[in-house]
Amino acid sequence: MIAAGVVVFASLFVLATRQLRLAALGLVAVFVASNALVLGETPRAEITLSGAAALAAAATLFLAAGEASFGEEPGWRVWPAIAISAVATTLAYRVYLSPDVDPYLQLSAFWLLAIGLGILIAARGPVRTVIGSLLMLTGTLDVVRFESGPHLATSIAFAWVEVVLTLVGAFLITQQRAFEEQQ
Amino acid sequence: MTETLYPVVVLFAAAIVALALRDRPRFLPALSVIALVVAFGLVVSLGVPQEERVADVTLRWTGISRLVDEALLALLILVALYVGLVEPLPEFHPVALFVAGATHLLLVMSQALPLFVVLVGALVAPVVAFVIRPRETRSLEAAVRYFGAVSIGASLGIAALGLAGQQPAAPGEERLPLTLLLVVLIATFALLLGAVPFHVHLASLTSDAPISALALLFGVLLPLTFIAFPMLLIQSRVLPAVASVEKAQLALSALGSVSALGGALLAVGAPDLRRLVAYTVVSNVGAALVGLATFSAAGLVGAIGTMLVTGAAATQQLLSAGALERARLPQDQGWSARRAPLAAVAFMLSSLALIGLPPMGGFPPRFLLQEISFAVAAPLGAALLLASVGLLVAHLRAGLGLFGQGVARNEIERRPVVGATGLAIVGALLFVGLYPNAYLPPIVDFARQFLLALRPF
Repeated sequence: MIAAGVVVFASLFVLATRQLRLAALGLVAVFVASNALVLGETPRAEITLSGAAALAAAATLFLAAGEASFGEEPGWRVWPAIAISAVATTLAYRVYLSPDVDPYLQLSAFWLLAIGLGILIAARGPVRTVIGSLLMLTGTLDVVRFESGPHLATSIAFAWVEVVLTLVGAFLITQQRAFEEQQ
Repeated sequence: MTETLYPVVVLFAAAIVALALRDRPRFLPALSVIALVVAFGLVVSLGVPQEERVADVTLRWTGISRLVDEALLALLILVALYVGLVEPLPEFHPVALFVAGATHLLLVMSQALPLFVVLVGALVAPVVAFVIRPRETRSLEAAVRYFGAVSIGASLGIAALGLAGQQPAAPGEERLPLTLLLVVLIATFALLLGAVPFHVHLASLTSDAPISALALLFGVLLPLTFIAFPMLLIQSRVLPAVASVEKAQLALSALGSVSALGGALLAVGAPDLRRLVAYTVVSNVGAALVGLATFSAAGLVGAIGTMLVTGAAATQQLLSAGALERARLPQDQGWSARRAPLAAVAFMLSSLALIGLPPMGGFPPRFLLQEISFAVAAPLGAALLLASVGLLVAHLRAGLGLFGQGVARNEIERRPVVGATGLAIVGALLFVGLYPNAYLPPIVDFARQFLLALRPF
């Protein structure tokens, strides 16, 4: 329950914060808590792999920020994003809730998918878009973990997608920074 | 190391080298073209069928994989030549090599989730080549919008496939609401394919991205994404159940016909050649989705054939549009073939293939689509027919605009690279139009495999 709570609050912090570096730290908290939910049921190799990819993603965003103050003002867009995620999580939880799977893992997965979707729908700049896509991807990894047992190939694939998305996102962020510096 | 992965190793290694050499643009085009040609040679030399196991993934090399890989690699070689000779864009080469490697990897995958993940990687990579003018934000905004759309599609798709993986093999024992699962999967592909009304991210990109990046997207990645869809349906556990879910079939047909008609209408009103090509591709994606929705051999053959021909013709037309853009002078009004007549002729000949008119390669698959859609439901057939008429009007309008001012002999471009490569593509499209057996048999085999997966009992 604590891990699921950390996932929810850390993702809300990521949504609301202005600085990209703080958001990257918030993402680390989301990744750690999300992995903690499956600690006993998933092989350590997979946890290590997804943890390493998540850490690499957060570090890449931290470096892409360039300076502590760089980021995007969330503004009014926070509210539609929260509304979308709250409604979508409730709906998904009611429709898909399975008695065979840990309810906190399901809550975390649906919440991350929903808040990622909310951020992506409301986003206009690269910073929020990248954050939204990473949160949504973490949620999908939780969904895949509903099925107990090893998923080595899937974990490798996820790590790959996470790193590719982050690198492309970091490229867009650096382009945004270059534009802001020129202004 | 397994033989089927040799092209991937060559292409990914070349992509890394190209990334490191981005500051030395003189060597990049040569490296890129050589690596793509070597990979093409490796692909041609691979015998079919082959099956190998690497880690816990089974790699399967079949006739359809070979056909699609050869066609898309050939297109990438032509686009890389265009970038090397006409429009220098250092970011393009690593991206093209990465996309080529991912294309091969996707085509040998035999498990749904890894296949989809590779597709996502291939779709995200071109974002790097979309941003051209850091001083202007429009191309950056368009790239961000595209990135967001692909991210949503990727996450929804991975989640749907992850949930589908929990379905038992036998139909009738599903633990999850199957209709919702299928709708999420269809929405995912609608987003990734840019079908109307999910096309907004592609529309904004069309006017702001470099032409070679657009050729990569509309000529290579959209056809690949479409072909990945039935492959993924075969490999996921949802396919046998699809036959029992009429709503999913209806949703796919509705999406396809709306996209076919909407794309054609948008093409009629397209303000420039870039948008004309983009909307024509969107319309053809819709027609192909209608073919897929019929869950019949003729529909699937027509759909995949249409997408392959669309990829080749759209690549040619986008490169021609780029050549015509470059040949324009500030005082010129509208689009004209005055200074690049060869590129304009190739553009118009490819229009025949895109619309699905004889004698070009687009005709046989379009005929199949038209026939099967009328057989399934008259309104569906009428929608495709109307879409074809709309595309015909749009391309005729473009042709009249292009040749309305005649040709200026003393102003013709000296090095018609695009015209020459364009006529090579037109020649290939004419050949497959006159001799469809050159490419249809592997698609027919794949359609048979699809139907077997759909009705296993």
